[in-house]
Amino acid sequence: MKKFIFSAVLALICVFILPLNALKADAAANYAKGYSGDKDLSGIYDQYGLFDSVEYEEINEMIDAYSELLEMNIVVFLPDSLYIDNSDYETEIFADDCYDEIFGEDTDGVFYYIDISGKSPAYDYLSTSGKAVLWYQDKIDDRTFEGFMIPHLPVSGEEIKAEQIHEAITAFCDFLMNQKNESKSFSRHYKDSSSGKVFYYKNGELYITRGNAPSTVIFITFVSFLIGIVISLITKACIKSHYKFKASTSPDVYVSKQKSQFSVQTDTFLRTHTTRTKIESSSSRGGGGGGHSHSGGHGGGGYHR
Amino acid sequence: MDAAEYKCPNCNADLKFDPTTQKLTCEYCESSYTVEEIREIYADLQIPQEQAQQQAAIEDDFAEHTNLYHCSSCGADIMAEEGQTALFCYYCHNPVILSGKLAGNFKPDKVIGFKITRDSALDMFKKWCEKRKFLPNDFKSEQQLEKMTGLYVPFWVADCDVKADYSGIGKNIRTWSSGGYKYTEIKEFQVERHGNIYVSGVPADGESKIEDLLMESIEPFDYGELKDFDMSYLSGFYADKYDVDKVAVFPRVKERVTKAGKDVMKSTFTNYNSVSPNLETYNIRSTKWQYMMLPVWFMSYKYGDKIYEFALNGQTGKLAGTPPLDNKKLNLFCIGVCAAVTLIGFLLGGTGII
Repeated sequence: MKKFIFSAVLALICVFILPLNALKADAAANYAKGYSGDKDLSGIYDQYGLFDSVEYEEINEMIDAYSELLEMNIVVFLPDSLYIDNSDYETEIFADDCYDEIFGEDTDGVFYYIDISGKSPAYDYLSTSGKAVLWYQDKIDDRTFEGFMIPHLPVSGEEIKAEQIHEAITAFCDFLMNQKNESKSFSRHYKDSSSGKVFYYKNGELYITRGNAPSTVIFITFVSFLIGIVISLITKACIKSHYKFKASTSPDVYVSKQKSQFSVQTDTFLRTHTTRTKIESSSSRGGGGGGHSHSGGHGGGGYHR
Repeated sequence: MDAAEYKCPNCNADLKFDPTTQKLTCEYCESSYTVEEIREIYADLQIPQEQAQQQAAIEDDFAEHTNLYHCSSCGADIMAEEGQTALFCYYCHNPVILSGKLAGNFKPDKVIGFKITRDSALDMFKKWCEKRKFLPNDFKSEQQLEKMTGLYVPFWVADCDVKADYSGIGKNIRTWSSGGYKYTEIKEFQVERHGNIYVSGVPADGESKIEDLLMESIEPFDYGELKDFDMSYLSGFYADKYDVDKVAVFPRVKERVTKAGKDVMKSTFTNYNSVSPNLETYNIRSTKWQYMMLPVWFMSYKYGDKIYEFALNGQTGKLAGTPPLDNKKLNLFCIGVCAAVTLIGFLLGGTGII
């Protein structure tokens, strides 16, 4: 029994050393590129031509300042009417790809698409990359949009005013500054199902890898271990049952059919009962959905105005 | 008439006079006979003097040429031919000592000789072991195989005439659907079955040291090869002296005969979905006994605190036994399974497949 307990403890140790080793082994697979420090690429991309040069510079300076402060790329994109027919999905792909094109994949930054193309309903989308994924992913929801940017933006179909957009961009910068979650907890992670990339912190450093976050790997390993225990116990029970004594010979083999006979063997009909029950009917239905993929890992969320 | 002088013709237990029924009754098999019936039966069983003398001579010869060895460790009595020396007890593997000659009344009526040789028995045993991967290593060792012993096991074999009575209700159930309703029709029949079931050659070993179930598992023996007992059959083999008489084995025989009777009865109910009895009795009206030696290759193995027995029918080759389980091997295997599942989970989790 002592040996068994020793073996079991040893197996447990080995099992849990595996994922711990995995934590050390994946440094080479880190795609995170961080922030280049080039704040000039950050700023407003005004395809719509909403702002004059003074306003444009003023907003750019504000965005650059936040970019420097937060150490991440920040882009605010104002589409013109060429984007009016874009679906929500196409808008998301455009935001992710456009960010990657400007700054490169897996760099730290955000791309805010303010839909002033004239599409109705307008679809604003905030794409995050690098550390911004973990900083803002928990905050990007309808409540955030409505709490910060939406109060300043026009309702779909209304006239677009530069002051409103300016205020919305300022609110967006406030959001970036005040709503960031810089926690580098080991258990925090985000998985981009489109690219298959996972974002997490390890030893205070951002990691973007393919596969699962170490905390997820440990959890899966632990669950596998529990499943392994159950399978082992079932296996053990099955094997033990094969080591039990098998049933003895039936005494039926000793019955002499020639010498056995029934003097009375009658079957007399007595009665018939018939009952009926109503058949209950039931039905069910179900459905499904789809997805898309791109190479750079992104987080993000959108809002219909 | 003194009831204590008479034995039950059915099971050989003492008959007692029941004042209520005015009959001689047997407490073991619940048979009952009038005094006249018993007198008639015993008159038929009277053995002529000449035949009795001949019988006594046979028994004396058996006693003279049979050695009895006793195991002081487990108490087993081992019977061997005069020219053969028993060295160890095949139950507990301790040395045995010559304790004297065997009384003539232990002479069996019939015997079936060994048809399976020792080498064949060992091959069968090895094949049996091959299917079991978690046996202790020394269970298959040469030293252990040496303990395989050819043994004539004493058996009481009974032929029973059973009066079977069954009365009950048989039901046929039919279901169908129509017009949004499910219909169930139950037809009931009065089922009557009365008759005789003859169960022939039910064996029960007369050796208390061997598990009854083990012996039942290597049945049946082919009684077509039964021979009158002769000491020459024991040459090269061991034989047990019975220590359980037919009175003691009768309850086992009765249980098996009743089961056989029930199965025969059940086979007549194939037309019904279910049959529930109001009356169901199986009374053994008469039993014919034979005491015989049947061939068994026997091996016992002590593992931990338990003794595991293995038996192989020396006539048909049918084998049975409780295989010992090496818990260390099994636990290591289970740990391996657990580790493999965990590793698979880790690899799949690490690569992001799950």
